[in-house]
Amino acid sequence: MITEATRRTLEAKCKALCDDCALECAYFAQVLGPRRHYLAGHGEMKPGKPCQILLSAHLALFWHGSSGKEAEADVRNRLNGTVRRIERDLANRDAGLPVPGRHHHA
Amino acid sequence: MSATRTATWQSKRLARVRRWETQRTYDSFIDENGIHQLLMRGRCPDSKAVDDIIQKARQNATTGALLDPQDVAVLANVEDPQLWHAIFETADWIKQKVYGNRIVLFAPLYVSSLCVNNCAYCGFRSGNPEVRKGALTMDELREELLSLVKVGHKRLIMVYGEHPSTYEYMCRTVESAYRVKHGHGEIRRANVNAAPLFVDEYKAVRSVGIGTYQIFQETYHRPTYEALHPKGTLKGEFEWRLFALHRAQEAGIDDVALGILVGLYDWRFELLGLLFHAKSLEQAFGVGPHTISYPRLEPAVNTPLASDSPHRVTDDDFRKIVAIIRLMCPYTGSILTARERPDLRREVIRQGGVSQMDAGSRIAVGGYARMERDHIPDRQQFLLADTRSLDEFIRDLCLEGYLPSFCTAGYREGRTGANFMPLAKHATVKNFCIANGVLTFQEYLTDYASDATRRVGREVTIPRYLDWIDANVPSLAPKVRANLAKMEQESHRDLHF
Repeated sequence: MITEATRRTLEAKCKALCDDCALECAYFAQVLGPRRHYLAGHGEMKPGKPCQILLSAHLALFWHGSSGKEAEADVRNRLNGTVRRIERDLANRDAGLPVPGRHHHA
Repeated sequence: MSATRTATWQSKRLARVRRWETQRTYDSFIDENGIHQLLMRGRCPDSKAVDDIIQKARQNATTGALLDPQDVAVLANVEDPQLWHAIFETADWIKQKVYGNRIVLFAPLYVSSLCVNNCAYCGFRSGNPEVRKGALTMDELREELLSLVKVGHKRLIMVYGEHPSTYEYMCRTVESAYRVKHGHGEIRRANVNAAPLFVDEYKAVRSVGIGTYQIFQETYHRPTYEALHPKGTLKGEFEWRLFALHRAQEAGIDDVALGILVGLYDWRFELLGLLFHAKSLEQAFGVGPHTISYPRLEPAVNTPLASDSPHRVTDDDFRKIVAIIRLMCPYTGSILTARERPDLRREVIRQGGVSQMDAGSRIAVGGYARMERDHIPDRQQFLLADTRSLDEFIRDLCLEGYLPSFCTAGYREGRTGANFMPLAKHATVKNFCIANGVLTFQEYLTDYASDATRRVGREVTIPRYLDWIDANVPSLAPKVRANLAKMEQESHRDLHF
């Protein structure tokens, strides 16, 4: 769950990654158990396994088009500031989860 | 929980549900008179009009557009067998075009049959003393999961009745499903079929990483709905259920699944209900249904309506329903369950463009661990007609030329919701489906298959679909072969794209 403003930021980040690093596509996903829940991205998905890095405990970035440690390091460097902002947004939007064991709305 | 506390919970929740209904901001997408008029106008269609709709449906397979309601009304009124032949052929063509010739396999896991509702057609209804109900303890759940994992299942639909602890229990049990490991076996995708929730509750369920949230409207015809779901029960609230998946989307659950219980009302009306539901979700959230299910009303213990409904459908009509769903919503997964007989399932897979099926299913709570082969009607919601084991079912699929698939890659690689839809709508998802199908099927053959299934799988099915990949996705072919070799030589598992 992200705001529209964050969505636009993420799309812009992904577009910049695609342009600067010659990627075919890039997208952010929220980590929810085994699920990588799509948040926003840019480019067209190609058949094949996307590269994936965990940017934080709750955020992953996927991309198609280049691989290797250098690409990973480059991507991480470019996203340092963004990650904290998205984490905050995710925490805010997911807030209000019911507390297990307490029927506070029932 | 005592009966008094359960009743108090239900009454408080019902009050909250009704407040939500009063304050809802969504406009109803079901106009009963409008649907009836569409069906009237669609009567006695000429063959040219039907041919045009068939062509349109074929074009939609690569754009993801839905058919228009008037088109569906026309198809639902076709009587000419030759035209039906063309519709069935088209359903299969669309399925091949979008998903390829694979069938994704899953197991239903009945986690809890405790339910406060009293639906006239359901064996688990609260007023039916002849079916024993219960909820799995965490130990019992683990036993069930191990039984499933040991035969090769990777993908579940976890089924829950509506009860005070539902969403918290769902969270705990889904997390538990993902923790179970046995040898190379594990559950990789847990979808849920459960009652409608409030947005904050959906958020909790979302946080544990479910696959798809599935809620069947049962019937879109309000008078029928109200007659079958008693007033004063939670399920008696039509709008609450109608917008259940809208609320799920609001909570960030972007893979949602529709369904009808075929046989409660006129199937032609229900098809249009499904279409309007899909359109409403697309319009509000840009993401349509991940799957559509169409379970048919089946006999259940001490449940006369299940056998006597005036709207029960014949096998012929059932075939038509499945095919029209494929034509009207080309991108959606289409789920055909083991309620149907094996012979009918064989026909409907092809005639209806089915993409997902269950096998070796048990639909009693605790059924997998307790039953090797037989079923126990007094613990089941209804009776199953296809009791083939998973291995037998898979072998039959292979002999019919299909690729059995245990693929769960998409949602673990971020291909969910708005990221998944373009792949399905532009018919490129099959490039992932077939490659992942081959890899997961190879896992099954290596770890779980009988000799007979392994033979046909290795000698016929895998080579056939490697040829398909060579011809259609050549860039992926060397990677698929490399992954197959890693699985064979280095015991790697869960290799996917």
